[in-house]
Amino acid sequence: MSAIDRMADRLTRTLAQRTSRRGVLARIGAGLLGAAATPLLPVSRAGAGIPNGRDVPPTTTGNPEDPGNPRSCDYWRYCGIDGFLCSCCGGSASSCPPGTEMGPITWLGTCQNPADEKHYIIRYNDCCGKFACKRCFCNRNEREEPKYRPQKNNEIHWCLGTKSTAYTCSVAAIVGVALERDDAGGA
Amino acid sequence: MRVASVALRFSVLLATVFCLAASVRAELAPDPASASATVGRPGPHWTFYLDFELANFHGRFVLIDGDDAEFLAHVSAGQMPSLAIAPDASELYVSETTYTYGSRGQRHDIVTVYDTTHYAAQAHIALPTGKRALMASLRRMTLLGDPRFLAIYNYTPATSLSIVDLKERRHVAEAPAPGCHLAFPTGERGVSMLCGDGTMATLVFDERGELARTHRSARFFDPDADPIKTDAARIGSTWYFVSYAGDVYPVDLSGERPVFEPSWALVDHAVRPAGWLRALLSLGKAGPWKPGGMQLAAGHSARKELYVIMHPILWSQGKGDHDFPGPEIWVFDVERRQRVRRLPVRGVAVSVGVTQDDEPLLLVSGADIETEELHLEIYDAVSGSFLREMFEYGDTVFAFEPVLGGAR
Repeated sequence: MSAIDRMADRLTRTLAQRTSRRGVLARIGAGLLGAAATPLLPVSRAGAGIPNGRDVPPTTTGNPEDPGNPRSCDYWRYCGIDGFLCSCCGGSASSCPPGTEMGPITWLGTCQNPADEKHYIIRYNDCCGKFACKRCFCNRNEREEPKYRPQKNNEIHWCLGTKSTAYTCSVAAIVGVALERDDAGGA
Repeated sequence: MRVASVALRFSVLLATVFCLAASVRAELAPDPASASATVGRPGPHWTFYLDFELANFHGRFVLIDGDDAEFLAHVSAGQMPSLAIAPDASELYVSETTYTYGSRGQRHDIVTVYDTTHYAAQAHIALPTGKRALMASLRRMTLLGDPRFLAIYNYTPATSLSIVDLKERRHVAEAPAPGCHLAFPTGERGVSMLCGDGTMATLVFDERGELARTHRSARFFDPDADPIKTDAARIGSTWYFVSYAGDVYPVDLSGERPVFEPSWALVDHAVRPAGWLRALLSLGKAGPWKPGGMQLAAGHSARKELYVIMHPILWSQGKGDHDFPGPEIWVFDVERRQRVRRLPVRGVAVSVGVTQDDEPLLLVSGADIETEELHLEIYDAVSGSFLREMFEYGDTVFAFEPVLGGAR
């Protein structure tokens, strides 16, 4: 590390520490350090009034090849999710909470698993039939496209073809390994 | 001790005197057993906002006066509602989805008609069941140029438009629109929709609300290279679609078919990423900026101004940031295609609205950078000065819909 890099490192750390750890400036500091940027998105982060799972006890998949905390917005599979995480409300990253019905129509994302560094196609199903989970709201928009490309849009209410369109929460299930990385819409 | 005792006796005496004085004043008359307030003609700074309720994804439209952030009236609605306001502001139309037992039972998709004196439901118009598009999005419903008709965008995921005759108070037609989405009023009785291949479909209806003909445009943007956001801003009869990368695509929808004007850049695409020192000293604001937010753009028709929420890419890392909130609203003169003002907000803005009068207000839904608390803030749209804040507005302010009738 050069002297200039060390100085930059010290400055950014100081900047990050002097501002709220949860604030935007802390994330700028983290970004400048080259750390993984925590997404600051309108509903996932902005809003003390919106439950974002910060204080929900963590869980794991138990599989070292599927690393991370499925109750955290940072979990790798959630790179295109928008909604409450079912893993915080009696379900899991891929199963719905008791008494809710998984919507059969999904939107698709492509997320990279940090363990094997492969890109996986993820289907994001909504779980439907009860009102909202109201825990662990998460909105990440990597490679998300507008509503005229609905299969890549996460703002559509995907409780289609279910008995009720009441939205409970969202899951992120693996479809398979992506053959080619899909960068469309990731600008 | 003695001083305290004197003081106590004096205050008892004083209290007695006040009680006697009060007893000789006229008593308040009982209030009427039943009373509801009414609302007058709209003022120039009146606006609705959509309060999106996280508990059940229902919503309500709240009417406030931007001059004092006063809550004037509201209408409560079912799942993912849409609002349209009659051009003369005499009625409101709310499309909504409800179930007989709250989250269960039989589904009802309706348009509810409200008067704007009592803000009471006047009619419920049934829509085809189970088709209304449920999504966190504006532009799912629009009045036609002929305000007798209302178009509702359906997504099942097959797409179509439902046409409601507001005079007859009934659903009159459903027109298929395969592969095309949302609804932008076009000409006298047309509706344009955005299609997945970068074109627009325009459905033209006759004087009875039946589909007369459909036009398909040439491709006017490249959805693979740089998608446009659907929350477009309207200036006169031209809609301004902002792209992910920071270009704007104006579409004139005054005639029977859309007229596409050349796109132009909101940002200087030649700006290079900032070095670490500039990045640090500017708190991350140096280098390129991009548009982002929910309702990220608004227009002022008389001033020909476009307002867009912008953020530095050092904050967002530049990827998947098309909904990312921004610390500034950039104002563009759309005739000169130039930025004329930069208006910093107190925190970051998520959604923005502008009233349409000569002394416009800028309505901002946003968040405090440090506490991340959500705020509904009101600024002077010309000077950018912060004027006031509305407290206890509800759950989340998703969008603003200024009352145009007030500006006339």
